[in-house]
Amino acid sequence: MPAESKSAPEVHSVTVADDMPFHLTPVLSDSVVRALPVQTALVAHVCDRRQTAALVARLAAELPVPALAHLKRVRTARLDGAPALLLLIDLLENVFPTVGAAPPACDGAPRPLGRPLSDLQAALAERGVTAPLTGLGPQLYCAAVAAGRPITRRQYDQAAALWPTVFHRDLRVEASLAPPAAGPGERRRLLRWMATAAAAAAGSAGPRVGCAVVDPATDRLVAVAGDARACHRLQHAVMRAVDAVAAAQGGGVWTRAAAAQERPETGSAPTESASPTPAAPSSGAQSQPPDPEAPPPERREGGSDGPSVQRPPAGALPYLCTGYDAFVTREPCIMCAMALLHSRIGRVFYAVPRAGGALGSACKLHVADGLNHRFQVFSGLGAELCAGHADGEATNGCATDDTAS
Amino acid sequence: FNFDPASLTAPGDSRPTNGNHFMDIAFAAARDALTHQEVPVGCVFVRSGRLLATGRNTVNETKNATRHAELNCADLVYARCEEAGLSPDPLWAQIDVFVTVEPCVMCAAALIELGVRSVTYGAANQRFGGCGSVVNVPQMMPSSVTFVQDSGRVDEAVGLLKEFYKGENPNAPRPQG
Ligand SMILES: [Zn+2]
Ligand SMILES: [Zn+2]
Repeated sequence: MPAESKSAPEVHSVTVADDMPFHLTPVLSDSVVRALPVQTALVAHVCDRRQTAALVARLAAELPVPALAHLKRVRTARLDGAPALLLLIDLLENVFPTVGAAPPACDGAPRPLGRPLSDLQAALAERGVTAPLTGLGPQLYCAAVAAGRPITRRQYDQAAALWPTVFHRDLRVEASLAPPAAGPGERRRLLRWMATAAAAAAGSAGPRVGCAVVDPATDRLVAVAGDARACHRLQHAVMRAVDAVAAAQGGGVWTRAAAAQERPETGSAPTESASPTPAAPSSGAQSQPPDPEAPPPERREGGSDGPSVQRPPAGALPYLCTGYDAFVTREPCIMCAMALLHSRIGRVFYAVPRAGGALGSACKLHVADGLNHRFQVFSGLGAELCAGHADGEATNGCATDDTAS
Repeated sequence: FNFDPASLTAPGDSRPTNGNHFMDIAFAAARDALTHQEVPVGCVFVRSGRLLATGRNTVNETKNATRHAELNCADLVYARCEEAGLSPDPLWAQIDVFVTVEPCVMCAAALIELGVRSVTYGAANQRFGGCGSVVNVPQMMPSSVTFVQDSGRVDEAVGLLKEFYKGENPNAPRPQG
């Protein structure tokens, strides 16, 4: 008995109150969220400005400092109340490892180091830089500078407040920092899909969790599922929704699309993949075959009026969630987050974070180094709709769950 | 290589099974995947020294990128318990898993969710490995599941993967241990 033949939730009639609060917090990689740490640089005063170009060229050739590569070599500042030109020599610890200077003030003001230029010349001579650095004043200074290359505008502003900094804008990073533009219509649309996930969660066998997968190009529901781990330890809502997406494309294991044909038995002994799977619990995952009468998409890009392509071309499998949005009532676990990654999901919206969650709480799998797909994640959407989901408020056990029929 | 119904009902053995024979079966499943144009990873679930389930990747067949060998084995346990009118819940902690390639992040987490006793794998999975190669899931999800690499089976597993990618067509899936 295919689950989807049973009372499907009225997914297109889910409404949300006009005054429903709207939150959308991008869950970003630590590398873009963090404040850049600060390090202490050794700085000299260029008192003969005609030597500036020669000094910069010499340092670039003879004393390149990878840890300072994101910083410009000179800046102007006020020394003793007068404008002065400052030259970045090296990290303080590279020249005077034992100096133990108090950390400089982090307001970008250089501070006297209490060591003469001759100490620098002596230290550099040991490193093979023997020609005198002509044009420098007799005193050395230290200054706080940013450690590490700024990736975001905010990090650049922090770094540049300390010392002039090189910055290459990364439009992809900048786009990821801001929540998607969400006017009232878009807010309602996003909340409506979270409400759809929450409606599916209500029928869970196990903790109350729901997941809806939506094609944002057409604003069409592709699949929706509640949780069933009380019956099957791996049938988390997200896992079931991913399978229901496959069912919508004629595949799937736990979910059979309404029009799904019987898949041929593979027969060979070690495979067994086509063996019967346990009866789907009541909160049956549902996949939506493309609806020819679906209303025209609100946000279609380009001028195509033809029916949207619902199936990837043959052979393009198995990335069936490419470009899709997933709406999950609580932050997915590691297994579910990786299932979404395997499926090449486009964006994930979840309502409430939870301990052990893999998209912001325990880790950020969607931006992990070493994995071959990244996706955007937003938290907080519809948190009011999904209060109580974070701690896995139990609904039905497995034995009593089959109430929908 | 057949399912032994006694694997469901026999008393659980106290120690993990010696795996060579079962790893052989997992490799047979991996080779079967290869002949079906699936990523060649095979898996066996063993209980009480008896074969409980065998699986391989069926990602293309099911159009579901999560249908890895380990998940197919888990589903078989559910199906066989249902047929036998048994609950699988008491069995998991007595199940030893043999898989030709390091479980991916998803499957490592899934095996911990199931609460199996041990997981023995062949080659490391440099793309998706969840047992330390890319992410260390056992460290993030404390459990009593033990994960062990069987270094004697690395070359065999790598050889199968190489064979798969040699004949890869541009639309074939990327490796998904
Ligand atoms: Zn999960
Ligand atoms: Zn896997």
